[in-house]
Amino acid sequence: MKHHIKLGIGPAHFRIGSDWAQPIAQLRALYADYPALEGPANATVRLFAARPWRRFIRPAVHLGGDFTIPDALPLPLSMGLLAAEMAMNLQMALGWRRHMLLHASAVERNGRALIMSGESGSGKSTMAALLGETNDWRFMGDEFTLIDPASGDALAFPRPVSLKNQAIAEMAERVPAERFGPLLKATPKGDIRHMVPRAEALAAMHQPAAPALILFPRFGSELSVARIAPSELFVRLTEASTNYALLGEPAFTALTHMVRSVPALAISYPDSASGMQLIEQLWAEATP
Amino acid sequence: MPAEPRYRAAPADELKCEVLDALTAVYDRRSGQTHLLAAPLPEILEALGDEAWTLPDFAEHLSAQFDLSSDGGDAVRVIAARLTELAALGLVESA
Repeated sequence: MKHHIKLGIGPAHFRIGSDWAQPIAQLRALYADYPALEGPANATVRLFAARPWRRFIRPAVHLGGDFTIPDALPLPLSMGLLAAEMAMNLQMALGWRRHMLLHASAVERNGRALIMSGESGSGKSTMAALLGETNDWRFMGDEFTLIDPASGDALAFPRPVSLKNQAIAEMAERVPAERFGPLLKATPKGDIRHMVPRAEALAAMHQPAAPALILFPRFGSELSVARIAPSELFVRLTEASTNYALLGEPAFTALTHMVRSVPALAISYPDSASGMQLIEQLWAEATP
Repeated sequence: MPAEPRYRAAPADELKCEVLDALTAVYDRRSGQTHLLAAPLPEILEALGDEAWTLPDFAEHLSAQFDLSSDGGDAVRVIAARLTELAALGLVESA
């Protein structure tokens, strides 16, 4: 690959190669504040031209790496940053074996983790981003939370937050402009803008946190809280994990321990402010 | 006349069972599969132990441990149905 960059995000060390300079330059800018990475990469990502001539005529980015999905959507070069993010997600989801991967956001307080799992649009990403901007919480990740099968601890994967649509304006009111990447308009996921986590979150990215509360948020409806039984939590978390089956018995052991020891709630809230208030209240109850 | 089928649970050291609440999670080391079992399946699995049972013998064994609260013939049919479910999951063998 003509252009490449190494990025360390928590325990994942990516080597990202590209046929084009632009996505790598954008990544270099977006990840400028991340700690320098030493040692070999443990995940590889490639952004390559579909056909050699496509590099020059109507360039489209294909995703590749240690694992590929044959019909991965080609994206126009202007979305190289999004392609890199999608490719990193793909490598983590399909290739990571050292930890159990949960499709969930997480924040930490006093050494304990609040994990939020849910579909795209549930608000898990925005809530983690908003909480991470307060002085009480450390942002651990908006997309993946890694669970150490041996200790049960949550490990951070603090990639820049992928803000979508109305969340972009909401965060722009609170966060200095220099922590934002370029606005990617009209992507397959809508408008996207990346936000670099606070320096404290990056400095502490290798500090694990013991899970203390698991929430399944739902944005946009009336306030409600419903307890989730351990067996339902078990099913939900296996569904939220991309590599539960791959990890075998260590994941079973870690997960059964987690669902019996960590309280879990499904919550809904009409807006971000009431959601944050509710989360603070539930956290206080869960961690007396 | 064919011999009466005998039911045998998967070897205990190949299964890891964790009670979660009303459901028990069972990890099968041989297949790498996880099963969530509701009562009375975990109880049946445990009661099978490491012996090979005929259906009538096992029904008698089980009714000595649990109040099956129905007449004998019905209990045998219910137990047979549960054993078939466990066999479909690969947790019981019948031979």
